[in-house]
Amino acid sequence: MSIIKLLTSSVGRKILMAITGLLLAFFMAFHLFGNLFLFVGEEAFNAYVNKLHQLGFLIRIAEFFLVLFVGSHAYSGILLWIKNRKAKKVVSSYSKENTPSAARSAAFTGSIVFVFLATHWSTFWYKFNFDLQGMSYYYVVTESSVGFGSPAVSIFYIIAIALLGYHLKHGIASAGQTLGIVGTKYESIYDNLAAIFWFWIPLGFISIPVWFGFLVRII
Amino acid sequence: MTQSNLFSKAPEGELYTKWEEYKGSLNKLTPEEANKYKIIVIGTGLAGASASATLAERGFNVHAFSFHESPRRAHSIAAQGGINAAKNYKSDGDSVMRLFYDTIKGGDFRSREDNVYRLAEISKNIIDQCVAQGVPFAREYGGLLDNRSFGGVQVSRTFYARGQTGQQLLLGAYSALSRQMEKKKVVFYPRHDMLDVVLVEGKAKGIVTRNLVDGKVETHSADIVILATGGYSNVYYLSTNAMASNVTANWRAHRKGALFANPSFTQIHPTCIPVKNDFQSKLTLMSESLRNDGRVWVPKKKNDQRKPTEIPEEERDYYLERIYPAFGNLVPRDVASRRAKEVCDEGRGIGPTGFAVYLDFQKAIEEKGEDFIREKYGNLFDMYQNITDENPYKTPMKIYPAVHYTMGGLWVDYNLMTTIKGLFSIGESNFSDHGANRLGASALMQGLADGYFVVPHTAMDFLAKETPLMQDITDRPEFKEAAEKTKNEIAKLMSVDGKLAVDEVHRELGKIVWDKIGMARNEAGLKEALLEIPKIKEKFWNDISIPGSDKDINQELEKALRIKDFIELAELMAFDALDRKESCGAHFREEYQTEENEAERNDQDYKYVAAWDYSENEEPKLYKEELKYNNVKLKTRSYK
Amino acid sequence: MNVNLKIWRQGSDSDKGTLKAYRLENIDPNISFLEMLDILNIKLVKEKKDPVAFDHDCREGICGSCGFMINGRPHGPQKATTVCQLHMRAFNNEDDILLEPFRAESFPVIKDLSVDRKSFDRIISSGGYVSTNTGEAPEANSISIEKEYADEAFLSSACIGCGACVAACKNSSAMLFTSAKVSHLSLLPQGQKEGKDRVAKMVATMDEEGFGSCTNTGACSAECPKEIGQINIARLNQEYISSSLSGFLKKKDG
Repeated sequence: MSIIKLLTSSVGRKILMAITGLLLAFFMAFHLFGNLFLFVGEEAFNAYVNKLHQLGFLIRIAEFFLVLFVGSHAYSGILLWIKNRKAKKVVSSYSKENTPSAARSAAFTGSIVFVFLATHWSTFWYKFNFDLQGMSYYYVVTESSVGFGSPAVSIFYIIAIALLGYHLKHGIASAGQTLGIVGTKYESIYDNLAAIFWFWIPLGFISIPVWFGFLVRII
Repeated sequence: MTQSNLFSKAPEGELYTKWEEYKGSLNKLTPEEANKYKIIVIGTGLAGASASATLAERGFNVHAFSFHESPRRAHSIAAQGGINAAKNYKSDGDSVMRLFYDTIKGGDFRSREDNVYRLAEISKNIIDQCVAQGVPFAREYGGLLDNRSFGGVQVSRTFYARGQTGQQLLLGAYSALSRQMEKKKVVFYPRHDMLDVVLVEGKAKGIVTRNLVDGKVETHSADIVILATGGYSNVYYLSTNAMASNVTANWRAHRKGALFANPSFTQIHPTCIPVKNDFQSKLTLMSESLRNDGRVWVPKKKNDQRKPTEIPEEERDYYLERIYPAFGNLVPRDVASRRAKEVCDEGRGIGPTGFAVYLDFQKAIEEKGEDFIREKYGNLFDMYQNITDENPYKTPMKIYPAVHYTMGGLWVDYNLMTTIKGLFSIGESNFSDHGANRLGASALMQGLADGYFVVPHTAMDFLAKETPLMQDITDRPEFKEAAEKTKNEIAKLMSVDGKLAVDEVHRELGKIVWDKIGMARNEAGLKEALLEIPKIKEKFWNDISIPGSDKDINQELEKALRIKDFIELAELMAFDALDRKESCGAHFREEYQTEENEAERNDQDYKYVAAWDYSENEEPKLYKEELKYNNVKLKTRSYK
Repeated sequence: MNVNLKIWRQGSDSDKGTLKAYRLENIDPNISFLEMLDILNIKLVKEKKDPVAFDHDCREGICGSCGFMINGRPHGPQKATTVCQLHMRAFNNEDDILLEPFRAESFPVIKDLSVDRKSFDRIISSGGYVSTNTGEAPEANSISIEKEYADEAFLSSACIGCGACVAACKNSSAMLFTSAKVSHLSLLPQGQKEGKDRVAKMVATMDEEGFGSCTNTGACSAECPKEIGQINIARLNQEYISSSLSGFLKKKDG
């Protein structure tokens, strides 16, 4: 089977989505690791970001792949969505009873996540790289108007990441099925790991806007 | 002694080596030569699909027709129990000879020795073939194939796949057929009903079909035609056959000159779910394998209204175990069925209609555990519970006999060719191997034996002596005439503007056939049937109503075309049952029974195959094929 | 009991089709769903009206002919049950029951509730078999197969090809159907030799036939009358991945 055929068949596209999806989930874990420096303190967080910046070229390559993964994940998703729309002729009474809502809404939650990523990059990422205006990284995140200084931004982040978690709930389980892990002896390990990725990691992300956006101000 | 005027054309020689030698002597064609021939196969069940696939593998161009949308829908798929083969994997003394003998004896010495021996011999190849195709037969923990014993025999030679053996075997044959479709050696015509066979210079050279989707009447030509069209149990209206199973293809061939053999030999299966009410559309079989662990009984008292669990052991009559201590609940189907009718006729039947007996698993559950029973019969128990709303783990099943299989069919010679040259008949559609009663797990065996291993050789031999047509000859007058006749018949049916649905007429016909030509027959009843059936025919032609158009899907028209032939067949069945003044196997003439109510065979006068010739306005003409038994002794069947 | 039926009536795939209402009274709850339709059809015939076309044959839940949507669910409300095995006692007196055909681009409507599922046959034709000719088979017990695998293969092979999976799927994907066959054969040594080629061909045909892609919603297995499991889809994916990888390796070698 040629690689073109692999990547253009329905199963091949799913495999591509599964792999890119899982890689992005791994990236999230790494991303969260960095974010948690916020709780350590301003210096620690700024130092961490500076460290990353010192990697220079390497970080650009990583970013390139990140965009590539997001792009191909979304592109495959859209193509499959179009194909599936064409295949279906809905009957008026069609019952959704046996289709879990996380699975049913994957395309929708994915789209929201995409909008969120675009916003995230055009604010945090852009500011961190090109538009710091003398602010510290820590300040941008916790106090600025693009950060959790704005309650609207905080709420947007909380909702978007919750949806991301919901997207991952279906996505990671689905990737296990697509990559053929289900039914092997690794299935239960995979399921446990999946819960970390769709539940605990998003929860970790959410803790940041919750703390810096609201709790810290109330306390 | 009977006067015989019909011969099997089986080769001379030793029974044990006959088929192998004969097969070697048959004419062969190379795949290149075979490619010049076209073969029409009607029906794509076990026999039809296996024959189509094998002939295509040999190089022939096969055109396969089915009224179903896909070969996988054929009724072979519903066979539950298993398939026999003389593999002797259990080392319980089984052999080809023993399978041969059991089958001959089971058929009450009314089948042809040569055919039955060949069937027993081939049985082993079938299992090999199916396993190679990936049929998931049940296996033992050691990884080898498992066997179980099945009604009417004392060895374990039945291969099975849970209660879905027919499904798995058909899917195997269907996969082989699909492979040839992909190679373009088989062209499949779904949703086509065959309505006539076309003869050119006395040989079958084509067919007339109706496309069930657009109603077009079409003609197709070929070098030979093979009918694999199954049985005609639906003449009884209620049977375990699928709703659309019919006799039409066979009957049309019969009208064109193919003799119809032993039409009254119809098998009544003992373990079916009883009829519940007037709306019943079909009956459901519970696999005979249940009798391995289930015990059949009725209350000793008449009209006992107590719940089965409230009837103490000593007030139960395990009548099969009582009458037949050696075989007990495993007696052949005809015996088990007739005994059930007998106890019900005595007034000891159970359930709301009084036409049912218990099949009880209590003892097996106590001895072997519920898990064992669940593993073995789980799906059957579920099916029973779903249909009846009763839990057979807790309360005994209710069963009653129902029509299940027809041993009769088109008369064929040893080559499986009918009396029309170039027209073959295989599987249940012919009469050949089961005599007056078929043993359990041998229908699948026969269908696959004929399709995979017999007809590919004999048809090739026939074709090798024929000049290939190499072209479509449907513009010949014989085809035009046949198509015209079919169109007229359809137009005539559509124009009957009565007020009955065809199903209603069918139900009336079924009642007559069940009452008079069913489990027990007698002269008076058969004569009555011969008076009543013509009235049904009249009703059919005057009172039915077929709404809609014939240029479209019209399921009422499809049914009408089939029922028309069932009515004619029913008459022939009565003639046949009337002619046979003896009881044998499933044919039980009440006048001919022993003091113990067992069938009384008359080998002196009736050791023949009754093959009937059609005649439009007169009584059918009887031809006889004398049956010769050189290798077995004729005995009175005893299962005591 | 009485029921109020709404049935999809459509002359052919190009017709628009519409829902029509019918009422049946005094129905015995112990009759099967299809027997209820028989009663309706006899009534229609007597009124000289066109009866409702629907596919059915064995009425034992094994041939796979029957199947349509009942209140939006393939084969109706009862789990692991085909329409022909569904009984009226599964409904209540005066229930509204809506009948529509299995709808998918790859299942054109033939008439009313009857659809054309030939696309399934074409998927099987493209590779759902072991390439062995009649008469070439070795002695059956020369192949030993662990009971566990034989039983699993049987469970996959129990698929009746009714199309409920496609109808249940929000994407009209035929993945469960295709994977059941791939799974059945890949679990057995007889089928493994051609396994890599088979899965590639069958997936390609499934795509060409216009079925949607699987998004692992699991609706197919939940509605399958034979309870064919999601594990089959995972097995197809495994086969597909290993088929692709072996394809790359071969290319490098060449």
